[in-house]
Amino acid sequence: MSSPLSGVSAVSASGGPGCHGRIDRADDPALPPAVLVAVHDDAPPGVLREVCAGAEELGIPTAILPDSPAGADDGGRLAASESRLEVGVGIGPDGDVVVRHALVPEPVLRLAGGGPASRVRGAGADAARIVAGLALLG
Amino acid sequence: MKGTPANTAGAVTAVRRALEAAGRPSDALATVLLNEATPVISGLAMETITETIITESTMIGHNPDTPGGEGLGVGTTVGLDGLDVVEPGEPVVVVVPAGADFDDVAHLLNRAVQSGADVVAAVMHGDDAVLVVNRLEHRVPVVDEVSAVDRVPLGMLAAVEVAPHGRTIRTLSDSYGLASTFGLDPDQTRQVSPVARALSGNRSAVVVRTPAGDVTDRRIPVGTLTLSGSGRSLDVGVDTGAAAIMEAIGRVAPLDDVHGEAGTHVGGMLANVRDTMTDVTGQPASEIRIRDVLAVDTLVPAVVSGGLAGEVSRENAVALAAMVRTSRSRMQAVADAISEELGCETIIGGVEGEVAVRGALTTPGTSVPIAIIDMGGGSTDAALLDRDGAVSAVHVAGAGELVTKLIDSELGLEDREAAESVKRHPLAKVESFFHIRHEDGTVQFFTEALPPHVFAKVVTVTPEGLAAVPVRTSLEEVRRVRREAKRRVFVVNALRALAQVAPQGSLRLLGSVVLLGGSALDFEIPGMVADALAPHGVVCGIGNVHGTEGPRNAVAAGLVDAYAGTTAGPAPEKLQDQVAS
Repeated sequence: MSSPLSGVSAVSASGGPGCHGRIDRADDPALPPAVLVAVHDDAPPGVLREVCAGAEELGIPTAILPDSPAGADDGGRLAASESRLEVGVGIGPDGDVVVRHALVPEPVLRLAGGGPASRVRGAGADAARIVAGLALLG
Repeated sequence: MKGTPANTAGAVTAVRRALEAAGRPSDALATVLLNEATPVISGLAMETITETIITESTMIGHNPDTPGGEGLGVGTTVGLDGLDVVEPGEPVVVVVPAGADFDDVAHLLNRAVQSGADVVAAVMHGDDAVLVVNRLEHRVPVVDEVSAVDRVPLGMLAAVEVAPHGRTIRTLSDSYGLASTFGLDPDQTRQVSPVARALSGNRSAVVVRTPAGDVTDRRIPVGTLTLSGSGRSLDVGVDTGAAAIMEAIGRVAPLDDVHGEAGTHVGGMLANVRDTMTDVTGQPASEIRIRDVLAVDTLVPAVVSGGLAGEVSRENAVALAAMVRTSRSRMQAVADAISEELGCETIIGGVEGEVAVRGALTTPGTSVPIAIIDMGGGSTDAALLDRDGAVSAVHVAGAGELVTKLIDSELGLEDREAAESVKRHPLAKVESFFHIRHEDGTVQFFTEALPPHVFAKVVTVTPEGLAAVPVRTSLEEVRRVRREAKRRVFVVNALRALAQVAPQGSLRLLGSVVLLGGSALDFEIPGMVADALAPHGVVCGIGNVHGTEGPRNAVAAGLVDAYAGTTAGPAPEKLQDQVAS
């Protein structure tokens, strides 16, 4: 299912129906508010799928930034600062995940690469839970 | 414990600290005054008296955060691997096992529908309901996070209902809704009505019709209390609830002794209280009498037996506090030990209730007759000084420890420290990384981000910072539980104890009531007690010993004032004037 929104390309199906796919630019007014994900090109594809699934289960949309800095933390910082929901997720080349809020100096959550899929899903869920104002899973 | 030799070290430390604070050397001390203290031991027990049992996997009544889809689906249960052999057109409810990936599940369901299967609903193990429904070509209601999904019977008629956001289910939580869904006759409808009741208030539910499936509420026999007093003895079942127990206690008042049935929690608690007092005083257990019991009804969350998704129901329980005191005084032993330790004279200067009243009377605005309430950890004490200068005192069971226990069990915390924090501190909800909303509705902003572990949590606002309360319930619910626990223990006991010392048992004749002790420093207990006493025309407030000391040190101030006579300050003069008038 691809998003009908302008500025959204269907190149990334891996984000699922809750994900607006890879976007050209974050400040597109036609794009609904979303948790932005900055994913490194070398990141294992399963990580992006689980992060987006975690947010989708809570009904919070995600979108993928066109390009990503080298590390998960810088990616998370960029994604959070670009997101109109002020929440971003960075995925590093090793599959490490960092969840950030634009106004909070420290990462809200860090996850080393190679962990179980359920933990990665949990990180995506926590990014959504920040937006929804729900207590975090961990 | 106060009034016992083990208390000596604490008394000596307190004296040394007082000297230090006053800037006086320890050899300047001439006399230490001690009050005659009554050792009081209290015990607590709780018995759950109801349980809910689901037999034969008849229903799934938990409330997952994120069920998927909407509406009601009724069909025969079938495993995910049995979809290939489903008769076209026959409505089926698919049972998805643990470990199934949401993409695969959605693919299999879509394929089955394309081949003619009538998939009307699904029940699954993982937290994937929304993900699966988002990938279905024909959306159906899906209930997820069913931990024991492997015990859902296959080949049975089942109904799955998911309500829209912000709503609760309407069909499966209604007896006639169940009757219409499953084609039940009036007798069968009567049988399934507990299922409907158990499901009401949920956003989603699953009901499976099995031959002997049922939900039953059972009362658990938990033994009897034998109450003796007024020359007679009365048995009362603990499972009859707090009101019946307190009514029975009233019928044998004044209480001489209480025994609990051996092998029950209550029996064990009462025996334990007796044993502790024996250890402390050396008095044989047979001579020790339980002089007061407070029973409180409570609701505790308990896991439903036979449940498939860790269902929790609120079960009835009775909490009991018991109190024993002794007349066997060991004060002389304490006095001797203190004299030896500090090298000065020690005088036992008065009975606790009397000197506390004297200290309380130094509170500006008070007058005789004056009553005090000292709400401690294990017992609540009251004393009255009447116009003739006579003092009467009483100890009743139940105080701070019981409040902590009620908060702990009603919120299902299983964490005494967290319960203690809820009791002592006001609540707030963390609404963002930078602001909290206090329980009174006011908002406080923080310039530095709050830590993620308190984000969106209900927290206690402590002097050390915010502490998360480990609950999923709302701030309002935690606050209600806290205030109800305090009301049922402190307010009930304040009234109970005052009625025992009041002239003719009438609170109207009390005059001034002064709250003393640590609980008088609580942020809401003094207000709750004052509100409860207001209809009786009683002036009630927090003690302020000597106008400066607050509700603490009333006993010490009363002792020193009595010893020093009229020269010590305004209080003894006032006492004498008022007693004389």
